[in-house]
Amino acid sequence: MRFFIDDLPVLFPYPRVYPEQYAYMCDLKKTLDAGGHCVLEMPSGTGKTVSLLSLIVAYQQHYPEHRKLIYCSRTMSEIEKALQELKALMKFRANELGHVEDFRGLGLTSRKNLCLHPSVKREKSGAIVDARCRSLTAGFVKEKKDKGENVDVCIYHDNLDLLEPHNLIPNGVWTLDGLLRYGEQHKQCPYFTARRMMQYCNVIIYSYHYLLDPKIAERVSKEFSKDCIVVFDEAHNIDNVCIESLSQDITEDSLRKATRGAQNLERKIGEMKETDREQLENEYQKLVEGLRDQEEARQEDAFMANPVLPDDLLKEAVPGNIRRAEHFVAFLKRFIEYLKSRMKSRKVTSETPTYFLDHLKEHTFIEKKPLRFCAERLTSLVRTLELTNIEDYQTLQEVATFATLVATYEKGFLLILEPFESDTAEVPNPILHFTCLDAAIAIKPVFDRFSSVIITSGTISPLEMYPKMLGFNAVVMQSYTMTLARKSFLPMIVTRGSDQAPVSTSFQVRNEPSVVRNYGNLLTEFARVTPDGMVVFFPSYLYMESIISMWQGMGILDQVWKYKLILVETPDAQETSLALETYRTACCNGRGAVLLCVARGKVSEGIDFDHHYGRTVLCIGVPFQYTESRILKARLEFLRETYRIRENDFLSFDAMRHAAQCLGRVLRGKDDYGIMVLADRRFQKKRDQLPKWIEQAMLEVDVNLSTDMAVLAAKRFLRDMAQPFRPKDQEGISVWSIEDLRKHQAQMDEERILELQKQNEENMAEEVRRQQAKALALDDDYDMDEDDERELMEIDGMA
Amino acid sequence: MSRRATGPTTTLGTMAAPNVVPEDICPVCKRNRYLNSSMTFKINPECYHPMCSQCVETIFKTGPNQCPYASCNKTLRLKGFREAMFADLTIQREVDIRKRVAAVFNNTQDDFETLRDYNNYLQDVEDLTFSLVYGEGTERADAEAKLADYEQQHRAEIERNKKKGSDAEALRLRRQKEADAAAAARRAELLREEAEAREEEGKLNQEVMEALQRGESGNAAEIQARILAKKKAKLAKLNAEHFGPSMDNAGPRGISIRGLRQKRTGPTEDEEDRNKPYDPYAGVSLQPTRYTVQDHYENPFLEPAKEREDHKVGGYNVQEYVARAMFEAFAGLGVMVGEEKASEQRSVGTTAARDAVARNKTSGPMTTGRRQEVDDVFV
Ligand code: SF4
Ligand SMILES: [Zn+2]
Ligand SMILES: [Zn+2]
Repeated sequence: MRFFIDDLPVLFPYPRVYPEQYAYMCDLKKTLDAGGHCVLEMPSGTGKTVSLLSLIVAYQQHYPEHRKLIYCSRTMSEIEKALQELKALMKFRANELGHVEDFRGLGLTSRKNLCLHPSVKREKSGAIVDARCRSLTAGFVKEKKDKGENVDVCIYHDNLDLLEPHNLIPNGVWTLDGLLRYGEQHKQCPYFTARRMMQYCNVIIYSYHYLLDPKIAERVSKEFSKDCIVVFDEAHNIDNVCIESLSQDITEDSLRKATRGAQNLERKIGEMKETDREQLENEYQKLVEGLRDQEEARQEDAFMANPVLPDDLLKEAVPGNIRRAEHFVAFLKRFIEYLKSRMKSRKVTSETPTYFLDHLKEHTFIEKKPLRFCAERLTSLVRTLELTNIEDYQTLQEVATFATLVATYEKGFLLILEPFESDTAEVPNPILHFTCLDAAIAIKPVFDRFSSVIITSGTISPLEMYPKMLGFNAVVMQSYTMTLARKSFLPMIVTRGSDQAPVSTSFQVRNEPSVVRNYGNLLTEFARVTPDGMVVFFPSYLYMESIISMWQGMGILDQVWKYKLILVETPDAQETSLALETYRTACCNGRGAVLLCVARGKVSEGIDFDHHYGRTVLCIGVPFQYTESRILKARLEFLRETYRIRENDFLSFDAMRHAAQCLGRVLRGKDDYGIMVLADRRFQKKRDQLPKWIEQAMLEVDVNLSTDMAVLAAKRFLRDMAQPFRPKDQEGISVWSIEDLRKHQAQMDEERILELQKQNEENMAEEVRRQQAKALALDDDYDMDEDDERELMEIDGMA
Repeated sequence: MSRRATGPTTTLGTMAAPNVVPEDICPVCKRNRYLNSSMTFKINPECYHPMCSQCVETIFKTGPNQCPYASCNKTLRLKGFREAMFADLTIQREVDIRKRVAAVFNNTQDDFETLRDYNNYLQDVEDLTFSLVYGEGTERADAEAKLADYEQQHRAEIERNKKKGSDAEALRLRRQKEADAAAAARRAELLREEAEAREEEGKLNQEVMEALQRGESGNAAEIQARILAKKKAKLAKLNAEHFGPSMDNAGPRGISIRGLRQKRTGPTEDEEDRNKPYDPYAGVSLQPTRYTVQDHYENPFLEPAKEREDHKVGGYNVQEYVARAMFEAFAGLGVMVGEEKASEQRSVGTTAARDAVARNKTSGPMTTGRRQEVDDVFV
C-alpha cells in the first residue's frame, strides 16, 4: 500500500493500515521534521515496529540527507524480529519501485551470539567469549604473527582484512541468522563485520547498551553523525537501563581477585623490565608527551572499555605520578587496600562521591585526578605488556572503572556500603554499591548528540514522567488508543472477594487468611471460565512462594488443578523456559494451563501470550518495588530533591508501568482477545495511570467488582467473543484500506481548510470592526472620551 | 625504621608473603579470636610488627621494651602503638611515609607554569617516595636526606602552601555545610507541605462525612460534589506547585533544580536588589546580544576620523558611531511579527504549544483524550 503523508511517499508493506498506525507515522514525521525528541505510546499488537520502520525508511530514501536510523531494542529476539520486518519491508519496496535500493541494514549483538570460532563460541559466559576473542584479535597478536612468531589468531577475523574495508558484506538487510550464515560461507567473522560496517549502514539495529552504556558506547557508537535518527523501542524501562549502565557493585571477592591481578601485573612489569625495557620506555614517553594515540585508543579491539571521560580530559596528559608502570601498580594496590579496609566496617553507610574522595585522600594520599585516569592508564599498560589471558584482569578492570567513575561524577551518585546481605544475616558479606541515581546522566550524551530521539513503547504512561526523569524536551508526546471493531479485551478491577471483604497485597493484610483465600477463589473461578491459557502475576517471588504454599494448605491448588495445569516461574532461566514450553504445549492440546509468574520477572517483560496462549491475565496485587532497599530509597530521595518527583508518585508510576506491561502480554494483535484483571483494592485509585488505550476500554461499571461479578462479566465477554467475527467487519473502522485512508486524509484536509477559512473570516470580521470603529471615531471625534481613544490607539498600534 | 625489620615485604616485584594483620591468632602470644572475640591488633610504626592489644599492654606497660619478634631488635614504646587501617601492613607503612612526603611536597597545580612541569614534579615526588618505601640501604638514606634538605630549603614556601591548602579546605567545608543545610531545609519544607496536603484532605473528607450525617439542605450528592470540586481545586494547586516549575523552565537542559537551588542558597532577589546601586533600566541589559562591537573595524571611511587631528570634534567618538551603526543594522532582528500575531490569535504562548495545537487538529479522531494533558506540558 502506498500513500502520502504531506509530501512524503510512504510504502507500507501491507494492503491495509490501522488508523493508529497512520497517526503514529504522522507524528513520527512531525518529530523528524521538527528535529526534536518525542515520546509515543502505541498499544501493543498494533504493528508499531513496522509502522516505525516504513516511515523512517521512506523518510531516509526520500530526502537527500539520508539520515541514518539507529534502532535500539532490548533483547536479541526483538532485534531479530525487527530485522525481519525490515527485510520484508525492503523487499516490498523493491517490488513496488521496480528496483532494489542502495540500502544496507545490519544488526549487532554480543560476540557470544555472533562468534564462529569453533572453540571460542562454545564458551558459556559472554565475558569469557569477549576476553578470548580479544586475545586472538588484539593488534599486537597480529604484529607478532607477521613477525613470524607462533601465536594463536582467529582466521575469521583475519580474513576480514583481505576485503575492502567499506564493503565487507553486500548491500541488503541482514538478519542475525543471515549474517551468521554469510560469515560461515565466506569464513569471515560476523561480529566484526557488523561492527566495522556500522558506519556504512542505513539502518542499525542493536541493543540499548551500545548506545547507553558509556563504557561500550565510546567504542561502538562513536562515529555516528548528529542527524541520525535514534529510536528506543520498548523504552518503558529505559531509566533503569541508564542507571544500571553506570552503577557498579564491589565485593570482597572481587577485591581479592583484583589484588591478584595487580600482583600479576607487577610480575609482568618485572619480567618486561628484564627482557624488553624499550617497550615500557616507549609507553612512558608517550604518556609524558600526552600523545594518546587516538587511533589506538579507539581501536575496536582495545582490550578494555573506558567509562566516559570528558573530551578535554582525554586530550590531557596522564598525571605524573602514575606515568611509570610500577608507580601505577602501587597506586592501584593502595586503592584496593583502601577499599578493603572500608569493607571491614560493619555499619551501613552511604556517602557521596565527594565525601568518599576526601576520605580517600586523607588516608591514602590518592588525589582525584590520577584516579580519573585509572581506567585509561590500565588499558594502556595492558596493551604495552601485551597481555593475552585477559580474564585474569577483568576484576582489576572493574575496580579501575569504578575509580574513574567515582572521580568523574560528583552529582547524582551515591556510595552505599552494606555489610550484610539482609538485616538478619550473621555472617558479613559486604557489598559496596556505587549507584547512579540520575537516569539523565547516561542518556544525556545521546540527547545532546542526536537531533531526533524517539522513545516509544506499548506502555509508557504517564508520558510526562519520561522527559522529566531523563531530562529532555519532547516536541511530540502522544498516546494512541486502539481502534477496535469489537471490544476485544475486557479490563476489570476486582476489589473484593465474593464475601465482600476487600483484597489487597498491601503489607498489613497480605498474609491474612481471608485475603489469601479470596485471591485463591479468584484464581479458581477464572481458571474455570477461561479457555486455554491463563497468566497470573504476583508482585514478588517472595510473596508468590508464600501465597502458593498457603493455597496448597487451603486446597486451592487442587481445585485449580482440575481445570488447568499449574506452572511456576522461577529465578532460574532454564527452569522457566522449561515451564514455558510445557505451558505452551498444554495450551495447544486443550488441557489448558496457568502460569504463575512475577510482575518484574523475565516473563512479564519479554514473552508474548498471544491468542490461546493467554486468554486471561490476572494481576494479583500492585507490583510495588521493595521499598526497604537502600538504593531505592536513595534514588527516591534524589528524585524528590532534583526533579521534584514525590516518592509515592514515583513508586506508583513504577508499579503501574509494570502492571501495564503484564496486562499488555495477552493482547498481541487486533484479532486477539483477552481478559485483564487487576486484583487489588488499591488499583481503583491508580486507574488513570494505566496506558490510555487500556484505561479507555475500562468501563465505569468494571472498576469496583467483587469476584463473582467479575466472573459473570468475564463469561459474558467470552460468549461475545465466541460469536463469529469476519475480517470484513473491521474494515473502515479498525482497519483501513487505501480508500479509507484517502477518505480520512481528504476529511482531514477539509477540516484544515475549514479551520483556515474560519480563521480568515474572523480576521476579516475583526478588520471590518476596526474599520467601523475608525469611521466612528472620525465621525464623532469630539464626543469620544479619553479611554476609548487609548483603546483605539492600541488597536492601531497592533495592526 | 630499619630495613631489615620489614624485610620480607620490601622488594617490589618479588612475591614474598606480605606482612599482613593476622585474622585470628596473635603471632606473639598465640591467643585465638574464638576465645576472645573483641581481640584487636596493633602495630608500632617503628617496625610494623602486629600483635594483639593484650600483648602490647603486658609487654610495654612498664616502659620501653624490645619488640617480641625474634628477628627484630627495635625498642618500642607503648605510646607509639596504634591500630592499622590497612590489613596489608606494607601499604600501611607506605601510607605513613606518604604522609610525611605530602607534608613537605605540598605544591598544587596552580604553582606551576605548565601542566607538564606539574606532572614532572609529581613524578619526581613519586620517585622519591618509591625510594623511601622500597629503596634498599643507601638509596633510602639518600632519599631521606633529600627530603630533609628540601624541607630545610623551602620551609617558608611549604608553610605558605599549607596555609593556602587549609584555607581552601575550610572554605570547601563551609560550602559543603551550607549546601547540606539548604538540602535539609528543602526536605523539611517538602515534608511539611505534604503533611499539610494530607491534613487538608482529611479535613475535606471529614466535612463530607459531617454534611452527610446532618443530611443538610438538599441531597447528599450535591454536597459531595461541591466539596469534591473544592478538593480538586486544592489538588490542582498543589500539583501546579509541584510540577509547574519543572515544566515551565525546562529549557534545553531540562532540569529545573539548577535554578531552584541557586535561589535557595543565595540571597533572595529582593535582598539583592536592595544591595545593588539604583538602575534606571531595572535590570534590562543593554548589551547587544546578537553581535559584539569590535574595537577596530577595517574601514577606509573611518580611518581619517580616527587619525586626523582636524577631524576630532569634542564629544565625537568613532566608537560611538560604530556602535550605533551596528545597532541600527541589527535592529528588529528576532522580532517575528507573524509569530506574535499567531500566538495572539490562539492565546498560547510558545511555539511548542502552537505545534501541539496544530497537531491535535490534524491527527484526527483517534487521538483524543490525552490531548489536554499534552497541552498542559507545554504551557
Ligand atoms: S573474531 Fe569473531 S569469530 Fe573470531 S573469536 Fe572473535 S568473535 Fe569469534
Ligand atoms: Zn598477643
Ligand atoms: Zn618488630
